[in-house]
Amino acid sequence: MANLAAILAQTVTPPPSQEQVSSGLIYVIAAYAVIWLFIAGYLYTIQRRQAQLKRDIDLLREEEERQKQAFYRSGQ
Amino acid sequence: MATAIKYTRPTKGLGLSNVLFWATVFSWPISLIFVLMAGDDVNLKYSQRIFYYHLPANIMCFLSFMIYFIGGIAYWRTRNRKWDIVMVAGLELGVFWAVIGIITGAIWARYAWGAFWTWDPRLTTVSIMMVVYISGVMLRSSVEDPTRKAALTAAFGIIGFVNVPLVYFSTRWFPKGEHPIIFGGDSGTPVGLEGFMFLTLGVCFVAVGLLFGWMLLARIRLGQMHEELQSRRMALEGMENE
Repeated sequence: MANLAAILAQTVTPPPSQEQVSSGLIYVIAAYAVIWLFIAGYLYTIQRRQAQLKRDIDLLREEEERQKQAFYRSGQ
Repeated sequence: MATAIKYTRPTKGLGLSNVLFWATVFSWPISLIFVLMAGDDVNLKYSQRIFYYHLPANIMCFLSFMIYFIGGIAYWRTRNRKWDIVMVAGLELGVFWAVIGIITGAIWARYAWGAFWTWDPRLTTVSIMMVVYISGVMLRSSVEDPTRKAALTAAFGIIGFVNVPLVYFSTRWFPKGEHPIIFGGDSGTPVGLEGFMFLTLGVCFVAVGLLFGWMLLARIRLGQMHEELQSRRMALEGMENE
């Protein structure tokens, strides 16, 4: 367990240096990460919603076709 | 706007949506190169680079709410469902860009002012604007009837737009605030940036603008698909009842 904790401790990103904080670099990285994450997240939701709607539309289209064929068969 | 709706139909060739997508893919890395090459500000040092995307994000937010406003007026005049799609796209994108603008602004403020948030006139008016538009989203989702939903959204878009110029001009009308004025400030120049910094801001504006255009078309397309689903459902119900 102690070994695992030591390995995990090594994988943790070290805190920003004083120089990084004082120059504002760490704030730039944080702000750009937010921008990229938000854009990626929003595009993903749009894509997911479009895919879901497309699936639903295709299902309804198939159902429509089935009903039309059933209607013609009953007419004959 | 009607042309924009027409162009959002899925295309495999050189459709407007595809052109915007590829232009966005190429322009973002270019804008990042410009940002890296731009010099540091004397006082703000590296943190000044947050502005290159923070400012365009806020302008896209204003543009989105303007689209929402125009869609609202057009809906009231015509009662055409296509304007409802435009309104929702404007509303959703406006909130999205506003959130980006607020968070990046807060991160920058932590460095520049020592606090993530102050009740500066710009920040106060932005938070009021956000409350208004988020309540618009909530109100819309609480109504079932599509016609009532669209009418309410349109009314909200028209009334809520009063906030947008208030946010933009808050730094000028209440000059004691801490928020810097980039366009037409006290520097004596039309833009408070010089040389390469100004060029970098322009490149970032183009990159964010292209992404915004592509997102707008994608969101309008989503609205059209939703509309198609509703009409197919109604048609199918009609067939089942016959």
